[in-house]
Amino acid sequence: MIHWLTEPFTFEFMQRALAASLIVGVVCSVLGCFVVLRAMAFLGDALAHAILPGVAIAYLLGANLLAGALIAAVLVASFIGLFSRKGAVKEDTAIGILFAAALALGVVLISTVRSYATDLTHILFGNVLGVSPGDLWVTAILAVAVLATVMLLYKELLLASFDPVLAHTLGRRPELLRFVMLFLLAFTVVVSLQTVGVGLVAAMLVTPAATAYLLTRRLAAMMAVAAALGAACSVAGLYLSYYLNVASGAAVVLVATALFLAAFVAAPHRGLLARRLARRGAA
Amino acid sequence: MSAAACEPPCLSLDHVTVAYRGRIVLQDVTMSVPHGGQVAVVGPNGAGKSTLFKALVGLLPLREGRIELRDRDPRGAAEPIAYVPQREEIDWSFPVTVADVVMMGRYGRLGWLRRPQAADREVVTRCLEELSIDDLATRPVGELSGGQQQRVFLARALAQEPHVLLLDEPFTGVDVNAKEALLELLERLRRLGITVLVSTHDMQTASQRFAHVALLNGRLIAYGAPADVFTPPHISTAFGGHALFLDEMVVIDDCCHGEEPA
Repeated sequence: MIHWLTEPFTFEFMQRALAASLIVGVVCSVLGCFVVLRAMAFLGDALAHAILPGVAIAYLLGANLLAGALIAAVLVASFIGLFSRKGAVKEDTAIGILFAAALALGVVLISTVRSYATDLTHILFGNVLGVSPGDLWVTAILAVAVLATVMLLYKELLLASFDPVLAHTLGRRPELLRFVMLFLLAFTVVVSLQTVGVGLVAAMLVTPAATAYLLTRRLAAMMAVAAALGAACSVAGLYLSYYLNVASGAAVVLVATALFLAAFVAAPHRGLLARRLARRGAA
Repeated sequence: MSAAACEPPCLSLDHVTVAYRGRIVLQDVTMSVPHGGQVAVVGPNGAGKSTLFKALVGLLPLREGRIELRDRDPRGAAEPIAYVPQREEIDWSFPVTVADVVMMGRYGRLGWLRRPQAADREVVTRCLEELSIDDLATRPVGELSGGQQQRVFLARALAQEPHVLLLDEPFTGVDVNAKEALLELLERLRRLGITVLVSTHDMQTASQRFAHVALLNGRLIAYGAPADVFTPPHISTAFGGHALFLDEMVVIDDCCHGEEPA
């Protein structure tokens, strides 16, 4: 039994894959709590897709993909922040148009290379087995930066998310904090590129946090539970991909979704069953 | 009523004019409230009551004029003015407890990086007790009734330890007991020297339980003791055709006036 658990990690690339997956699982889930509570799921997905041209250009130049992703992510996050401040156009539509265009641009750029199909698949859906030591360092540093910022600015982010009016009157600058959150989202998306790819990072942002919401009553607890769930899904997905020979990023997302469904039905106070029982009890 | 004769510390407004979307909503308001004073702000819908409060707390910019608390501009300072809006635009499904929400009132004093200290938790506990909601401290805010929620936001305002408290229509939709409890709280605040401005449509309460009344309708029509403010000419000016003067009484139908900025 122990051998079954440890066998995959006798390989160095699997050790790196595990480290990357754990980091992504935790960071996405923690920031994902704000994504879920502030209804930024679509925004997160769009940001992930919109950085594809940046990755594509780095790919064509033979440069580091993560660097290209980071530059593109910061740029796109800044644009989103600036545009949505005007409030004139419906943000939903503008984002929808922009990110589809960016995705198309990225695919076009990458398709100019012969072997593009495989590489595109890795970028879109992750390639955790191909994580290099250098990539792992970058991932770890970005992750620490994101988590440290969330911890330092915890109460400000909480206040700006819950009651922007009070945040404003207390001088806590909710508009500035929105930019901070967009940049954190940008870093998180870049961190996740390797394990789940551009296509599935939205799932890692939303699903563990949504599951945690069903199980907790306070934000701090929600973040802790989300982090634990994110880590657990990532590890489980990695095992599934090793033993069943399936795409690991997608496996992680399916595990996360299964956990969400379980919580949706069976969570103590907020689950479907609990609420049906409560209603029958009250009747 | 003179604007100059005011014992500091006090809240003074000097020719305050507020515009919203290019339209002037409040014109040339000059008044000063003594330390610990209690003012009922009355007027028809759309008169500018909420606008006045939002300008005082910095949510709306001043087109003209000055606001001073203790001879300094209070907006942006360590929140000496606390504001409780009529309706909180809050996501009620947010995972926060009553205690969490009241603690948010302390954030202004805490600054950007510090965590709440024991002293802050003490203030929160005292505010919860003051509003009789200490037994609800660990309940998620979304599970409370409307009246309980109002008390939570009042407790949060008190947790700011403000010099001035602004309550926007706190008597609307509350029962007699709740109203009495609130008026008793205001009396305790008066003895602590906290200045309170309350906007209300309840003219009787305004006239019987408040030392000062400010009658607004786009501008300050009258300000002073209730007997000086609630005179037929003033009421006529403020409510126009909505006020009907009969032999023994005045009938006022207060509805459908202009819109105030949300």
